[in-house]
Amino acid sequence: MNNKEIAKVLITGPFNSGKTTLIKLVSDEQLTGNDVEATDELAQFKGMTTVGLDFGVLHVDDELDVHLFGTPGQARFNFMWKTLSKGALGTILLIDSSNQKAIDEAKEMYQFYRELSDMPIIIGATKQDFPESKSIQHIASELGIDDARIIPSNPCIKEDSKDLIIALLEEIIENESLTQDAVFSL
Amino acid sequence: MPKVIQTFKQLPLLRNILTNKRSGSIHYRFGSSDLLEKINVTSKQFSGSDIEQQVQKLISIPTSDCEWDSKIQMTPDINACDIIPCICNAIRESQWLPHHVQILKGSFLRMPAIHVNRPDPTIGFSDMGAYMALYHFSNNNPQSSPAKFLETAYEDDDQIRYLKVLVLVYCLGLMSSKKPKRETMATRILKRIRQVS
Repeated sequence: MNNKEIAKVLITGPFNSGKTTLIKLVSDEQLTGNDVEATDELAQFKGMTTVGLDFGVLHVDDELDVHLFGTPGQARFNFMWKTLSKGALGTILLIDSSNQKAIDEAKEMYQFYRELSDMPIIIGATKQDFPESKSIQHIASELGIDDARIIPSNPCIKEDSKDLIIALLEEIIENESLTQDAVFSL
Repeated sequence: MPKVIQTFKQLPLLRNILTNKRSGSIHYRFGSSDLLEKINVTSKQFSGSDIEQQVQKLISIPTSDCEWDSKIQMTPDINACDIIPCICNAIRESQWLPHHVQILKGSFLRMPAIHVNRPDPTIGFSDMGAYMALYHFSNNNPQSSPAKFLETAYEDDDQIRYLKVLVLVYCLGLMSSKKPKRETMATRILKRIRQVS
């Protein structure tokens, strides 16, 4: 019988933000959703897109695995976001910096997850090297957060993907160390 | 009008400042007041106008807003007092209102069993009797939570004395949780993710 503990981490973000790539690069095993041709108005941006969800497993030790869940980016799948976020340690929200529509959608997603729970959320701004990309300050202003909370990231580079997960874990650890102090804030 | 939530969250902030020897400013607000008050902190001193009274208020009254700002560069100030004696005096002089006692107690009642450091006379706390009671209680009882300690007070006055010594050991970082430290999931994952090549 397998008695391994499971830690769940959510990788979310609007369409074409790099979720599948991130999961692929940091997982030991990957069960990906089906990539199909995008047929709606999104087809002009991306030939193939993920239907269903991405799922990756990172083996930590004999007693612990991390399950990385990539939520479907399209807004019509938002009924799944709440279900997937249950019990998650934290969330990485990826945003395509070159697409204002994606930034608008990311704002909605950020507010959705913020209202859902107080789990840590790390934000990765992808495609910062594109000429039409919006600045970190612009994205921060759109989301209503401090720009220091946003990390520029290229999910195709493994170190960048690792850095996002490390930032998330460091925030989780910091929150854990404050547990005793938290009794004064209740 | 939204209800103003008042807590003693300035105490973990003070503890954090003292145990990490930080410098900066504490900005805080009492109740629904528009006035944002400020105390400057260096690694050894508090400074600001009427600083001793300010520290006493900070120990005695729950805040609705309390933030730390480490960006400000501190310069020597004549209106300064050494941190530890200032906190000891503030606790000694504190006269909490009954509903503030309830808020403060409510926080300590949620804490797990604690270990308390051996009394150090150089701290200069005036009620060493209460400190010794807490120290022996934490050493001799596996279930030495603040809640159990407060239950040992015979009278209301003793309960205030015990509450004061709990505030002292908490703020000065002289207590720690007895819960065994287990490497958390996040720490284990962090080690593993750093190894991903």
